[in-house]
Amino acid sequence: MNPAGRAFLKGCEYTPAHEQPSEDFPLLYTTGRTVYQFHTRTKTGRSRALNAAAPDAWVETNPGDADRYGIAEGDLVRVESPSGSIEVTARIGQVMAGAVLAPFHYGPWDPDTLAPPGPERGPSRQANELTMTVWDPVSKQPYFKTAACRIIRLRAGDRPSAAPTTAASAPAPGQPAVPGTRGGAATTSDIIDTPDYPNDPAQRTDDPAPTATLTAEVS
Amino acid sequence: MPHLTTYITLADRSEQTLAASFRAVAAGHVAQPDIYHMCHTLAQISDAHVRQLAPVAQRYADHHDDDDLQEPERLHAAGVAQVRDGQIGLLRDLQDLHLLATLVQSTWTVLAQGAQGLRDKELLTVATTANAGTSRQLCWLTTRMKAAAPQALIIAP
Repeated sequence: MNPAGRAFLKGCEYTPAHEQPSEDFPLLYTTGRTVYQFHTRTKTGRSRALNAAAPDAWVETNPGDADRYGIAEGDLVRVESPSGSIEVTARIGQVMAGAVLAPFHYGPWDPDTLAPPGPERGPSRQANELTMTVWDPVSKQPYFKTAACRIIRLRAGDRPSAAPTTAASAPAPGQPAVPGTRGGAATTSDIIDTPDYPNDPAQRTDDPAPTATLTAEVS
Repeated sequence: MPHLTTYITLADRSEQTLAASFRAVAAGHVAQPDIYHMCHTLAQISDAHVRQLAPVAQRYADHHDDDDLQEPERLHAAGVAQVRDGQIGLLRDLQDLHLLATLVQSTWTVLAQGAQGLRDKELLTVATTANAGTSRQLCWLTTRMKAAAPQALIIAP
């Protein structure tokens, strides 16, 4: 078992996803991303222009499914799976019929706006509340991309959802117009001098890096 | 060849027992989502083996009296009907499943040898593919036991 620097590729036959749509949970649930945010927004959430383009969580549903469940653009909905639930606003978008998609960027990381952990924080908007705590047994890939879910309208929204109107979360053709996502003014940044870190090897000029000494002693 | 028929019956019964046991362990450990889902998936592998064996079993059964189909008591393995609690209980349940799957696999190995002796290509195909399926079940059980063991053996009360 020496891959000699190459990856192991293991083939296997198709097996259906663990959770299939059922009477109780008739829709497929999947999670995805928007082009404006990266992972849990620890960096992109600090960029004013990027964060303004996609400031809050949403769920995308297909126009047919939205009609069936009485959901309009911007309505607050609750999405539930056997594992958990989120409460977010709806975008009548372009996902396939029978499926809903929630972006996974949003959760408790919001230093300025969210209450500390506890009951006052309110319902979750974290997309992976609905997915299973399951890994692929061989590759250990988490089972984050499929679940069965249902969607329940809670109340009307007072504005369209926070989903960007560009890229994958654009409203479905024929839907009422939604104010478009726009870029702001050009941003500027100031380069500041690197502070003096006594232990930064890159800043050492006097003697060799300590790691070299350590290696010599070990060998 | 009454004994070959006996072994076909053994394969059929023990695959059914294995499938039922996977489902019992799934139901008993719902708090572990991966156990729940994987055990159901692996039970379906055994279901498929039973289906694939059915026409072959019927062909051999047609040539024998019912008396020949009696499975010897000593070969019968009891399934997992009652699951155990806690982390060490899960480990023991997985070990029971492993024991059952080992019986299933050796039965397929033996049947494949019989099928080659008889030049029964249909039985040989079923026994070979089912053996590979049982290997997958055993692999997962081993992996999952490894994952469960440190916590169960060292930390669990």
